[in-house]
Amino acid sequence: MFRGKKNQAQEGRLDEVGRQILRASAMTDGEADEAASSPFLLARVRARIAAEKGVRERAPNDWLSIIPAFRRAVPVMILIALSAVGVSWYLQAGAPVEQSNQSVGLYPDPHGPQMSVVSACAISTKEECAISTEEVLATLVNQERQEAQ
Amino acid sequence: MEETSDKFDFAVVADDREEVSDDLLAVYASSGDEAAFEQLFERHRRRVARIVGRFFNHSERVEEIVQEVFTKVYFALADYSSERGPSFAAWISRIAINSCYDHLRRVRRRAESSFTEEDGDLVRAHLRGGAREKDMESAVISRDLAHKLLARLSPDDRLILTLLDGQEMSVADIADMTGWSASKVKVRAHRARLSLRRVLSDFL
Repeated sequence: MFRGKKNQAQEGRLDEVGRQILRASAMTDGEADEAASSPFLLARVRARIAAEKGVRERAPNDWLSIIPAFRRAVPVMILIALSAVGVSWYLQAGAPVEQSNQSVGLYPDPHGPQMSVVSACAISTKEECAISTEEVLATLVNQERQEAQ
Repeated sequence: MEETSDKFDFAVVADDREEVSDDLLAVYASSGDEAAFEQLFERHRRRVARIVGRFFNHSERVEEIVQEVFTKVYFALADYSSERGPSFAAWISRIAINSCYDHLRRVRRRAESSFTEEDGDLVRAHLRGGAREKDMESAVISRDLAHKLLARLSPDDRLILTLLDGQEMSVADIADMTGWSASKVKVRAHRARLSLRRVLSDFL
């Protein structure tokens, strides 16, 4: 109990010194008034305001300066896109014809619809698409037999 | 020409300048009337300097922050409305406190490295109740020392203690100024006092 009272007294002393420190660290009202009465204070405020206005006025111009750069960038981007399309077209043209027929389906193929059903079912979860592995194998064997004939 | 006619003619109402409300001056100043802004500056510069002086004691820094506050005020005038928020005096005080808080965060712990053994002896003497500011010189030392000690606190702790004990504001006023809830102010004040006790107890 005595110890608690001692601690309380010590805390009270620390708080009191803390308040003294806070008061000591502050300017007096007279000193603050003196600082506020500086003859060029308003002139400096006006200068700061003018400078800040200048910065704010330049800010939209900086944003607008992006437009010419954007105008230069657009043709370059179009060129890059065209060359990318050209390269992909060239690569597709050089690919084996059989593979491209199956993948793209440009030419009529008797087995085409079946293949597309299988492909569609590969990504479907519907019940009618639930083909077993045996069924798939049987279909492939039949196709090979037909081709052999 | 039209802009000129919209401006507030202080020459006409020179005798009634004190009668013109801050709100009206704010309206004219926000529309670019330099005389109205000057009038607001004249009315509130001392208030702002006194608030800043609670946080900083170098007159150059106080002047710098006062300039910053009035620059902020100038650009925020369009957003000010006493109907929606506090009075102009409370509004400008809030801007001043926020500016001080920003500066506290910038200068945090800069003074800590310059803490000497002599300073420690002085704090110990204060804690024992032996030190008294008898002359101007010791008062100046005490102020310098106080700043070094307060630099050991976080900006949040320093802000709340300065407002409570330095500015002698109520919890409700601080809540209004900072936008914190009253309970948050109380909790922060409690923590700030504990932090200051910890700083001081290092010298015991």
